[in-house]
Amino acid sequence: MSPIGVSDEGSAPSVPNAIVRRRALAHRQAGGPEAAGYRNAGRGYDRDMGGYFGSYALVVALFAIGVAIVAGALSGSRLLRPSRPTAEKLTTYECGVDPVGEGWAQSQVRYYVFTYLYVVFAVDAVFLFPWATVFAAPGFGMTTLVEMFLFLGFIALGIVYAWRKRVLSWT
Amino acid sequence: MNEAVPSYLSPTGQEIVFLLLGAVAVGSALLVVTTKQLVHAALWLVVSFGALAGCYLVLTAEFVAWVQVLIYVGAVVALLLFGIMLTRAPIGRSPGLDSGNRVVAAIVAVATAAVLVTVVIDGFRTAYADLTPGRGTAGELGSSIFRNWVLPFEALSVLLLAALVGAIVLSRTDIRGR
Repeated sequence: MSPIGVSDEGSAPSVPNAIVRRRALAHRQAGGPEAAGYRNAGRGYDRDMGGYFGSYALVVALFAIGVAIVAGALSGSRLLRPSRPTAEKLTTYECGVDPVGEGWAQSQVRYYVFTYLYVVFAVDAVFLFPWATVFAAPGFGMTTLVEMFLFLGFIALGIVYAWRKRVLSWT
Repeated sequence: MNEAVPSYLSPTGQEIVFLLLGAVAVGSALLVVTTKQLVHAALWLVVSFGALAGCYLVLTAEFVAWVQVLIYVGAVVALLLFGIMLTRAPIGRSPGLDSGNRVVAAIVAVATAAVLVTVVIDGFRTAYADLTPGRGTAGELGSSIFRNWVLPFEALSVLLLAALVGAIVLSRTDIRGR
């Protein structure tokens, strides 16, 4: 399960060597600081960016770029804008009406069931992923299919119970 | 498992990242139990669980890492926040969170940690496992679950059913026992 659809470490290189060599050449002609390191770039390029750790390093790098863009925009506007706070400006904006009372109100305990249903279905979905990858593979087949539907059947009993107790209806 | 143990004095990039993530996980876990604000405790728990998911990713347990994000960072923290919202209002600093059992709690925590660390060290000693990607994918876990661990998997559905019925009975005041 590689996140961005690249081959796993050790399998066939996804970029033809000629392209890699051309890229390395372009870098060397551009005179980058690591130009000398590209002499052996033929296989290292694939292994570094296409493998398991390389692809997750890419994810981390993209995340860091996203954080940098948001932080840069916010701190840039903070530096540029004038700041003259008054008591009215600092109150919570609530559709133009003055806010009343606290922002935190105690809710009805019946909403707990909906969160719990979410937890149950998250656990449920987590087991569907490994099941979906193997149930058609040789050596699994019908037994695995029945096992999963047994699992889903037990959880469906809980949903039937919730439905019969009118938990799911809006009152 | 590999017999040839590389030197600890020249850690690889993965080991450094793993140590940093572990430090983040432990530090935010300490903040969870020391903060005076309940909501902040739940949010620090997100950081702790997230760092733990990063640890799993570095150990190439890819599927477990995303399960950690989906179940713990997503569902369990949502459950905790709902629990706070349903039971406490108004929210804020609650000095009543500090109990007089601090010393006892610290002793229990240290003892638990000591037992766990001893078990891990005693079980593995200097065994060295190479990080080979592909062992922690959904397919590998699926073949393991549906070949060897079918009974625990089915038992889990009964556990979820029991917890769901329990949550319904607790939150509906109009359902009474006989």
